[in-house]
Amino acid sequence: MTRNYESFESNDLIEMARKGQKQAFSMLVKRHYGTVMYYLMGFGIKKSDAEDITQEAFINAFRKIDQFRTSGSFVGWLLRIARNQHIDKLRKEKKFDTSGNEFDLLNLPDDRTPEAQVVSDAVVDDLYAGLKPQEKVLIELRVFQQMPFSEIAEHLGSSEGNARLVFHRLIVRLRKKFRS
Amino acid sequence: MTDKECKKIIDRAIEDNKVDAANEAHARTCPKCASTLALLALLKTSGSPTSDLKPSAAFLASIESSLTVTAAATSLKAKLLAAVVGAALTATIALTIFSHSSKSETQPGKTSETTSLTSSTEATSASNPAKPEAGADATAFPQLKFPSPTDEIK
Repeated sequence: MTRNYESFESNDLIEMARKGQKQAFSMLVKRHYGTVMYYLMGFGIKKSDAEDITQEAFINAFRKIDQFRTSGSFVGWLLRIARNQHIDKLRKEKKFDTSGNEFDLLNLPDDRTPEAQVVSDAVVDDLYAGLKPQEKVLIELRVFQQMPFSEIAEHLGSSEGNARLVFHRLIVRLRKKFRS
Repeated sequence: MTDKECKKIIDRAIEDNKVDAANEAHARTCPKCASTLALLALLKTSGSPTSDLKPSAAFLASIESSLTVTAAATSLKAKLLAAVVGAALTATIALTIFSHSSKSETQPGKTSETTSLTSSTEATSASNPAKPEAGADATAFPQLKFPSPTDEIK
């Protein structure tokens, strides 16, 4: 008999994964794949490379799942693993700059073409269409994971004040779009 | 109410996942907060913006096969560790038994130690050649012979 893992809470899936249930872990992969991918893409990583790092991050997470404490945020833990995986990759490629790898939320390049921006802005009912990867991650962490700004800032390599400021600016932008 | 206080209300609404009576009353008079709270409710119902990226079937298959290898490696590691610990324990016990038995062979008198205190004392003195027992056969030991002082007078 196959179990319907979709109905389980993340903490239950983590417990099942700890007992070696691969399908429970696969459900966690399905749930958090997008967040990890957008998080990595927020560093300016290409989608194909981000997918490789995401895969390694999930495999590592399964290997270390006994080390995860359910009192903490699973997504936060995953992002930490993904970030370390990314840094390791850069170190191997000798591209890691130890002087600072700050993830500046305010000055990230918008890699969308002007045409794409016009099209996405035109779709008023699709609030997420015009969001940058890191903005999507910010909404996910704050609104859906209810993560405190201090922790968000830690993941995004920013200050708590900056994370708070960017979030509220984003909300204002979405609110305007929503009103219109 | 200032913008800062409105932001606090929004933050509280997100953290608590609900709007309390006081904030609800404020939202009725503040169009910005009302609009933001409505937006947040819409976001919550429409799902996360990161959920539009779904893993491909190939990605999931690749992860699952890696998990199988990881699980097998973990179980093999545990088995190997158990085997190594078991072998080390067996070797230690065997070594202890061997050293104990070889000591017993070199010192036969020691075996009677547990029987009684008297026999133990006897055995110890018997095994010590430097301390002959009273009444033991003196001829068994070498005797030094010195010239007698009367020999010189003669």
